[in-house]
Amino acid sequence: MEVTIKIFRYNPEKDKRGHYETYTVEAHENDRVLDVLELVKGHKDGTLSFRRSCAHGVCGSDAMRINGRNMLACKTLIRDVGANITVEPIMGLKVAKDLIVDMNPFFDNYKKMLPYLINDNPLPADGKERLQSPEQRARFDESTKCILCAACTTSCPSFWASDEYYGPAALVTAHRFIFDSRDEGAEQRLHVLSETNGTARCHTAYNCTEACPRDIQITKAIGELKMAMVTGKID
Amino acid sequence: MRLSAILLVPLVWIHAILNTLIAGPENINLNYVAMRWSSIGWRIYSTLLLAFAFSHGITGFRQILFDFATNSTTRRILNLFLFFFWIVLSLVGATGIISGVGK
Amino acid sequence: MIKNIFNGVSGYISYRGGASHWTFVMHRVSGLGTLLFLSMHILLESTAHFAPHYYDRLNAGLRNPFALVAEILLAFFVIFHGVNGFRIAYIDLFRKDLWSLPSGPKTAKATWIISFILWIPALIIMLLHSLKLI
Repeated sequence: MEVTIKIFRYNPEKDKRGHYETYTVEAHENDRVLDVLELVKGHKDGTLSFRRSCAHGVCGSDAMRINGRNMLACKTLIRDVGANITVEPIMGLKVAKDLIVDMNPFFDNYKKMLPYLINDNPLPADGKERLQSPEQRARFDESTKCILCAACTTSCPSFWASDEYYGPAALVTAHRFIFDSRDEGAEQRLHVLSETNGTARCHTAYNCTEACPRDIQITKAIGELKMAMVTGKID
Repeated sequence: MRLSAILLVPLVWIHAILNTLIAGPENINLNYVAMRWSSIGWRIYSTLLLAFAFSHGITGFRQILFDFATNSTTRRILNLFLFFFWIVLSLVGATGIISGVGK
Repeated sequence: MIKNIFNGVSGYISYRGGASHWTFVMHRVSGLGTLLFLSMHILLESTAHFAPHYYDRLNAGLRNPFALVAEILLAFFVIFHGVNGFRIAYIDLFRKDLWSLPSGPKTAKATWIISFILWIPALIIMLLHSLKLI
């Protein structure tokens, strides 16, 4: 079938502002949007730039706005979005070229969550491992699935307003460590979260959960963080 | 926010249903206001409504502004501005309700 | 801050999110609209005390089609803001499991439906009242 794809183009060396270009390519309805982008780059216009790596929804490189909504290009089939596709870079981050955005503010926010295990206690007597029951592991299982593609953070109205808001992805990371029974850094992280750009800026608009390609229940996780901050208890 | 919101739902809706839907705008005039404000119960009701509704609105507006303004100086200026707006209008409204219709 | 407002608002408008995105935008719009009305309402009603001779004249000045449309819109704003606020508070405090797919967008859709159901009688009664004014 014939697919018409409208792509946001911006070359920082030539253009003052971005514009759209439309291409028509022959593709199968079971092809992914990423395949169509590759067809355009390979056969129509070699100057098109976009990030991609594994192409299987694991590396989190190719989050983009497809028909106005954040998705992973490698997990979106043509038949699900129709033959007329508009592809734009994700919002709230500065566009570097075409569909590539500057991810630095996103990762700066991620680093503020101290994304590593904090535990200075000595190992148990046998010196092997800190045991965790299946229930304790299941408590934060959802939030370990995050691939840091930024689809959630750049769908968040509070993040569009200011990239100083930590954003859903960073909060999911905080959730992953705070609710881990082996980790001792919960208090430190809750302190970071209680700052004015932390969970206070989450207004439960729910775009993050709908945008997440890994089906993480982000709004629920943030709700649990908010409750933990109010009650001071982690269960 | 939440506390005032939960109180506001019955307060505002009763206020709106009574004055807009039952009384109707064509019947609202100075005499109607004087009649309502002659009872102490309605005065307390109106004062509570004013206090909760307006502070809820100002806090909500502040939340929206703080989404956009992250600079601490800007935030301080906005806080001051909102505080004065809140206190002046609350006082104007409360004076009106408590001292009743003028002559 | 101006740049932030531009970015934020263009996101509100251009993002094609589901029902929950539009409920969020509507919650903001209705809140701001109601606050604007409330500020004018406080000033207007306070003239009953400060300048009683002008009260009836000011009130009559507000009886025009524009004010009627604004008033009917305001009724929807107040109803919507109340229903949606109740939904958010209830889910946030008691039913966090509803912040998940697919129940999240469903509750957002329900908010719109309940608001319209509550608004239609208000709309009819307000129009009937406005007929008496003509």
